Amino acid sequence: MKTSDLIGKLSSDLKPVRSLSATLTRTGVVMFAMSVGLALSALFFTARPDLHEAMSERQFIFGAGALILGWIVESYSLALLQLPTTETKKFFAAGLTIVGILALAYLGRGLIPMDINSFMNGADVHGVKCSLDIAFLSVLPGIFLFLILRKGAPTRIMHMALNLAICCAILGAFALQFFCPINQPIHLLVWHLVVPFAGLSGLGILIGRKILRW
Amino acid sequence: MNLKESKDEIELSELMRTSQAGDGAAYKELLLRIEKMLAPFVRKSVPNEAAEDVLQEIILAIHTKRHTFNSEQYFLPWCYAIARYKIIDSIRARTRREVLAFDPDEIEITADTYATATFSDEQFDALMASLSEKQKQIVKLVKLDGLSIKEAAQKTGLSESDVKINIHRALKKLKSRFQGGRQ
Repeated sequence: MKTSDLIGKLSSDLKPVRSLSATLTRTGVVMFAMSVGLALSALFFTARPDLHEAMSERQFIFGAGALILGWIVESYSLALLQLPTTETKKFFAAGLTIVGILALAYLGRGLIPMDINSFMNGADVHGVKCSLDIAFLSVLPGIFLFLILRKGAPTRIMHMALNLAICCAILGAFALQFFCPINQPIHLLVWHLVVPFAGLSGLGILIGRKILRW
Repeated sequence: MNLKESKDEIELSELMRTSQAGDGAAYKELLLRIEKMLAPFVRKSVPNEAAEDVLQEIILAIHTKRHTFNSEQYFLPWCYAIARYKIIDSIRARTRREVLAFDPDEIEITADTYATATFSDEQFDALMASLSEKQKQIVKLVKLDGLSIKEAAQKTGLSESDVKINIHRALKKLKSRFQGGRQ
């Protein structure tokens, strides 16, 4: 078929379309879909026994606040990435910076006062269950997110896949605070941030680069 | 001149808006103009025998993703981003072996390139006027006359690193001046 024939065919049976909504609306939709996915996944968990006391601790409030803020920024970045031309690296970087600051705060609290036993306990390999929980909590939000983002026309696939994975990991880490009773900063740093973020990022890029292509 | 004032940008955006409302005639005109506009870039980026296919893939992509254009955006960057994406995609799909040495950033198809390419002499001179004499001379030698860094260095009596720095600063200045009107 010649290009001119294709153009004739496409224009002859043209139907009206509605433009994608504004970026802030799309961000809201992204966050809502992820929240629904998270709520469904959370049904498989039970709240930590000391939740009431934990929620009034500064570490918990700071952690939850930073993760929520990071999640909002990353969701906005994802909504921008739906369009072909938008440059979103600064928002993506801002979200990561917020999580980075949280990680540094955990590291600081874990190292001062320096106590090797508590450090080793925090990094205990059994904590890997928390990373797996975060991965589990991220699955449904990730699927919902993927279905929404497919409606757009992302042209930076790797970036979007990474952004998607980070966004899910942040939300998973936020949710796990309500289920995991361990407060040790090093545990939170290693098993709630570093390992799941690295793992989900790798997995996100691996899967995302294939399924996000259009 | 900035993109907002570009004749093509204004006309194509309007055509796209009308097309989104279901106007087939406007859509046909839009696609024909897009074909004409993109054909040289596609031919430059992929082998001749594949050019027609890639062009059709781009037109199809624009068709299926036309809802992602909104009136707050510029049309040309939107259109070229899709074209660039599809060209890269087709190159990756066709020549797996060449992918290893393939750098997507080499394909410089952006609305900026397009707009720059359609500058009149007066507009070009106005942009160049923002550069210092030294930068102007170096940009002319390297970017317009096609001299290598080494040749430009010999001709101007500067060191090679000075030439590189001057080009970098000049392009940065040109870019910010070009984009200045958008903000």
